[in-house]
Amino acid sequence: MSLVGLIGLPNSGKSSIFNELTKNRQRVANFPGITVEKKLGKISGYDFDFNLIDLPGVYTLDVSTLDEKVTRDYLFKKVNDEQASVFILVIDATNLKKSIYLAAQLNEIGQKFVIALNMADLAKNRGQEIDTEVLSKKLGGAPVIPTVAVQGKGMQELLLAVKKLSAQTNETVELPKDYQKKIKAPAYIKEKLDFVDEVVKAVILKKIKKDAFTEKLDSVVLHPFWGPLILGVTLIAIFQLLFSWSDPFMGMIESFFEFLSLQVTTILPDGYLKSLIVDGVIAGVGGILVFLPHIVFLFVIIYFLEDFGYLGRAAFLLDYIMRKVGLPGKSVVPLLSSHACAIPGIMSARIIENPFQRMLTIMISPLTTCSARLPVYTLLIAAIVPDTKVLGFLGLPGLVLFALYMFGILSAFAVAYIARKTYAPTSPSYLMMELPPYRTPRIVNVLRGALQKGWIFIKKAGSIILVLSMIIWVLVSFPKAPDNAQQPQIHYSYAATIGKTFEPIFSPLGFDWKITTALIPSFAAREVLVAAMGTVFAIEAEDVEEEAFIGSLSHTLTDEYTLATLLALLVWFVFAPQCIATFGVIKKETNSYKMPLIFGAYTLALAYFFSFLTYIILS
Amino acid sequence: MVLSEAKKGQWYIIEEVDTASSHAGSRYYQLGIIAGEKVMLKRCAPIFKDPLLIQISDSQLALTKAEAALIKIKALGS
Repeated sequence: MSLVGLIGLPNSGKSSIFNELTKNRQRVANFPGITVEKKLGKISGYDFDFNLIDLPGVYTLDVSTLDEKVTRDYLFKKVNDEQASVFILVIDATNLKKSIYLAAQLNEIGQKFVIALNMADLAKNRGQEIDTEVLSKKLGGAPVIPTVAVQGKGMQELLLAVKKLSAQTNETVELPKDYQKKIKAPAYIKEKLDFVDEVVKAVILKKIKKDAFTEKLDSVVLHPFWGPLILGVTLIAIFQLLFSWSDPFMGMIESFFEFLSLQVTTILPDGYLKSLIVDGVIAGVGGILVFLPHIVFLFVIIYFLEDFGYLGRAAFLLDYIMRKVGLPGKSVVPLLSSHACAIPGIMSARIIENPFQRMLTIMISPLTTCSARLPVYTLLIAAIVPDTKVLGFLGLPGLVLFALYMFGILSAFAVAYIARKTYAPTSPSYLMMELPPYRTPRIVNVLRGALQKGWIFIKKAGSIILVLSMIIWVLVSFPKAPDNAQQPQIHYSYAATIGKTFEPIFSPLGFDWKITTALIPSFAAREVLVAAMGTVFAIEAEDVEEEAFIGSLSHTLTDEYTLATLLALLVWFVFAPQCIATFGVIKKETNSYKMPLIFGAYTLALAYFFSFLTYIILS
Repeated sequence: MVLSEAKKGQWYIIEEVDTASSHAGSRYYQLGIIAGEKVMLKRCAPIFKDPLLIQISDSQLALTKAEAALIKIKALGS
């Protein structure tokens, strides 16, 4: 089946054209080696079937980032084996001038393309007239089709033009020798810019009026006082909505899987099969699906704000502060979301344009204090921090918890800062970007995109998470305790064997084999530590969130361990990658096994170092 | 003078863009920041007065003060 490439400038409306043409026939894969999703859609009808591929936005063929290079590679044979035969160049009619450079280059290399002159209605409403015939003539006769993607206008005409073009002889274009060097030459750029001016003069019959709505809204949204206030409220609202919308759904998913395991427990006889199904499969799948509400709701909010045009404004307002640690303004969204859960947070790093900064944000987001750390912190704080008041009204446990939050975010910034200093020379970053006019978000696309995110997570990260959680289940459940066992099952398991083997390595942190053993099931999710500690010390509980259970467990911990050990354990949980889902999602997002391994190595190293430091200082 | 020193709300003409010493390189001309274009400083970001929002041709661009400092301008009509 032939492949048609969708190409255009950032913010040109490329994705709305893609959505309109492919609707629900979209597939998402990954471009090799980069963190950008490869969106493919099947288009049939008109006696002509083809695959449409959405390529990363570029301004010209003079590409600099990894993302942009992918787009260039799809234009040329030899560079890419999956070459497209025809291209659709999406041009924003309200911002025609900037796209002509790229159009001229497509024409110059001899590529066949159709121009989708998008947002033609908006341009018309604002008084702009474009001579499409002259535009076509200037660009080597490429057909120009006026479209309004969000209303589905011009889509049939666009498809017919693509069909007609692809029926012509199919010659693939090769990358001309020295082309990359040639297009960087000042003389070449000057010539092209002159050509752009010439085309603009010839095709724009009437100039566009200013977008009064955008002007007005910006004067509030970017106002010295109201701007930061609106931003603050928006960020708090994102955080609150993420929790309040997700909570009931997460509860429903959890109850459903509890119900399911209860049913299986009553049906199946005790034994390996039952344990496999209940503790292995059902718990594993439930542990994956429970992330869905967070992911879907976060992306509903993000896509809405992105479509509307606010994300760019937020980046503008936050740029200065975030730049100090080497991060872009937009990284606030993944970092903030990671305080709920790192999984959706890492996935949302996609909104960052610069590939290096996107990767950096992915790698540091899990250091922020996610909600799964809370039960662990609550338990350990109950065990070590006396419930007294500071200054007469501030509860000490609350202060410690706040300090842990700060510790998390500051560590993330510190790691970003160091990584930026280390790799800065090789990875240029800059703010320079367009703040496009505000647009009405298309709810259908927002919802479709968010649901797609959820589905991809299950498909791409789910399998890794399931495999890892099965491994943990095996480690904890086997070998079985003997019939006359005095101790809980976990004492006889591989987990305990590993815990005992690793005890010498962890004793400098003050951890004994019981703690080391409890860390193993806690890799499934951090909060599991509470239940795992209960199991190790054989404290029975119906519900691990029960106050009585936390109380007696924290007493046991205080009796059993020194303050130094418990604080070291607390610090361990600030850094340690005790969450297999994070590994799964980093693998999925970075499309490599290397990055999750680097992530695991550096966070383990930090956890070990700081826990060691804590233990040494206090003992 | 350079764009980072421009007065808000006044139109200038770009004389030269010093892309050679910039890490953003080709992004300048790609976003339409080229010699001969009219440019206006619209806004500075709150509190730190960095980054800047400029109007050029038909579009609004955001860029840092350092990035704007590489754009040489002269007052329109002088």
